[in-house]
Amino acid sequence: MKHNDDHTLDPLFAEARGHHPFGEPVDFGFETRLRAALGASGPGFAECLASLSWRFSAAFLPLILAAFVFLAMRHHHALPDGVGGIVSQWAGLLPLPI
Amino acid sequence: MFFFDTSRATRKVETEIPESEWVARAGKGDEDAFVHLAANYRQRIWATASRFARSRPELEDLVQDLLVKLWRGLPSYRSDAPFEHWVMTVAVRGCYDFLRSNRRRRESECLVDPTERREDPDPSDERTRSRREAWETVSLLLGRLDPKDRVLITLLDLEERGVRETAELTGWSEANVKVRAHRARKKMREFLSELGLEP
Repeated sequence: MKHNDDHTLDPLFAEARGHHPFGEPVDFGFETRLRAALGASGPGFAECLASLSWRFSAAFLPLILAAFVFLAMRHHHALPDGVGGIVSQWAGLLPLPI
Repeated sequence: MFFFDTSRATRKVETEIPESEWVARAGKGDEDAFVHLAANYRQRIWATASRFARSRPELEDLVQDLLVKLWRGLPSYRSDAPFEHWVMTVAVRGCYDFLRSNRRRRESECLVDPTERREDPDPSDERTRSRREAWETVSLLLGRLDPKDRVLITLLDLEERGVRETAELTGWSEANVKVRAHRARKKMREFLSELGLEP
């Protein structure tokens, strides 16, 4: 497919296309080197973060809420009334003189 | 003594397994399946990556890194797109990352690996020499572009890929590809005239 509308670069690209600067890859030792590289490549920080990304998705909000309610009920057998009650109840668990 | 050629039999069995199965196996962590896939796609990755590397050892390292990226990314591959397209997308984006991360170092290095000249199959061949010289000039011009433009010109003009395909491979919009490529070619023409290499 042609994209160039000028005649300065066209012949240059056409010639350059036919040149393979480093020849062909060598098969000898390819598999050994690849296996060594795969063995040495543990998951990095980015991969670990990507694997955790589902935990931050909105789809898990109900699950997080359910876990919160479950924990609240387990500690006090009943949910306190209103948001203020929840805040003061959980604030009471903080190691601070509130 | 009679020897049974097991390699030929194994090769036949391997070719009968569809690629999708190799991909599925590799995605589940089967290293042998991935090595099989890597051997099949290595040539294509090599051809694209060779436009960005400056020496054969650098190219070998780059191809190796791209294969490792593919191995790490395989669990996230969705079979709704052709596997080859996904491989080339990872390879092109990997080459772009490579250009960005090595930009400063590349600027201070010589442009043509002198050992490669000695490896020419037949330096007296006029056609070969003409192609090599054209590549050296293009390489010189590409070296003065920023990594994004360099990737675009390589895909569009050296690999003769379409605008849409280039946009898909790079993840940039078609409009962006067109505008950037147009500006990059303009810059290349200017560099060419600065260097006095205009025909």
